[in-house]
Amino acid sequence: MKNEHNMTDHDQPDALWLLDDHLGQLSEEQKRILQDRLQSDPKLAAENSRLQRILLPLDSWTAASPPTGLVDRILGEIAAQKNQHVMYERDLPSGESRGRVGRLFLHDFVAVAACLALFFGLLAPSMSAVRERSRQAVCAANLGGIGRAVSAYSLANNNALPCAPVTGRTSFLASGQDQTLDIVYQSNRQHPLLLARYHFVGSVRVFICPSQKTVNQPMDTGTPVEQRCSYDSINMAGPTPKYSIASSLPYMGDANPLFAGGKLNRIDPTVTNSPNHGRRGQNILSLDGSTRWTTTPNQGRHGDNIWQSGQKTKYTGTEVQQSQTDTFLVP
Amino acid sequence: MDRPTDEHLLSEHLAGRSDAFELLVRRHSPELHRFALRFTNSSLAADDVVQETFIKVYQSAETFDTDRRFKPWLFTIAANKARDWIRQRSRRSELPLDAQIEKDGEAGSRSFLDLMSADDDDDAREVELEDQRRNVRVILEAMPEMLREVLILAYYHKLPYRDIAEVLGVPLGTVKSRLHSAVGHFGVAYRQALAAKQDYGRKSQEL
Repeated sequence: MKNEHNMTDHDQPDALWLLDDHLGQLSEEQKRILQDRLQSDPKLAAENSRLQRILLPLDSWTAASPPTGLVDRILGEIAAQKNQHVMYERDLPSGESRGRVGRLFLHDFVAVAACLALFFGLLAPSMSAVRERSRQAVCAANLGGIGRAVSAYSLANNNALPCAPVTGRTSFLASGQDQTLDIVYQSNRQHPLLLARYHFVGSVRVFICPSQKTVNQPMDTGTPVEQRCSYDSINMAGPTPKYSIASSLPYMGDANPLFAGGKLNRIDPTVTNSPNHGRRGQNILSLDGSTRWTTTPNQGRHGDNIWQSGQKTKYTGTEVQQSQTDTFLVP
Repeated sequence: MDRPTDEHLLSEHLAGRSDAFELLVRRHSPELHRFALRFTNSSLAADDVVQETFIKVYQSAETFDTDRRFKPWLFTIAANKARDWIRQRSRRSELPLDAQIEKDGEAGSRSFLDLMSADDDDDAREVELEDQRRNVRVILEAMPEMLREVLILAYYHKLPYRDIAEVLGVPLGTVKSRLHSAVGHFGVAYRQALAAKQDYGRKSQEL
């Protein structure tokens, strides 16, 4: 008696039955008949052993269980499709209103216009925010590139930071102070620009913060040096940290907000963030090459304000870091 | 209370019973996943095949002929999805970890897996079993698709011949003849793999 699914064509057990047996295709009755036959037929028994040897390795390939959560994922996907379907059905015109599809009234146009106005009203500020975030990211990448260049420069120059020959007596001008024969002024921005001169950076573009629109002519050799860079760095006229000793100290950052046009205006405690990014914050590069976005100026050692020299409130242009661990970023 | 049949659950789903389809998914996803895993030899592909299969079933539930059985229909869809995945992969020319990295067919040729360091603490029996498992996987993957699918459905999933014929869309006689060919093919290939390994071991000892 064959079972419902058995497709064995022979009523008597033979070699074909053997595979059917291994594949669970025989009925209980057929299994019994086959067992009896195997006992009495050594040739068939040998054939069965051979088939067993062939099939046995297949058992070793056990398939792993499905990952937990697969069913939930499938049901979630189906639920999403269901919702989409329901929404689609809802959006279809009903039989009664189908004839009105081609007719538009003034209030339809008003509604569309209102939707568009709302859409652009909401979208424009968010797009602007997205663009600024992207500029912040490019700015951080610029500083990261400069950081790698400083590291390479330092390695090749006995751990020294980039420093052009210093001939001036002051590295910045105070408000109301003009460069005269008595005041030999030398911008601090010339120092990091050495990295470009000696090809430690691939392009002088890295010295331009994409958010700062006033500094945009880095390739023009006639441009004053302070306009070829939109980042301020530690004052090289004063004590500077050795790269290998104080690698976590800030080395460079977005422009110091206390300066305007290369001149120190006045110490205003309400001004905390760089103008480069709309005074929302600034990117800072540490000597170890790491960059970070900060919204306060207290990023030096022990929360030192990086825009000021120590606690000084009066400046003449000769102020520098108070120590090797003080940070004073100047243009 | 008797367990509701697949066909009954599908009818209930079509009648609006909210949890009927979920029951079908929970009932069949483990077996379907094992099938897809053996068919594609990739766990990620198996996940996708199972998901796409149930989505297809959901979308086409209304067209299902209730006189037919559900399981062969389910496996037919899964087999189609798995075949699609294999074709896409072959277009991308991905190499599995077991891909031979030395001259094709050369005795003792090495695969990427051979380059990975083995855990020294592995039990020898486990290593041997893993070796056997890998041989089976490689042989089945290299087997012609029409033989591999019939072997997987019949040996690992114990599907009745009639259901296999329905899944593959071929006559019953073809199922049986393909099955015998598949077993013969596997036997020969496995013997050759063992011989190649012994030959490689002998040559290594001679060096």
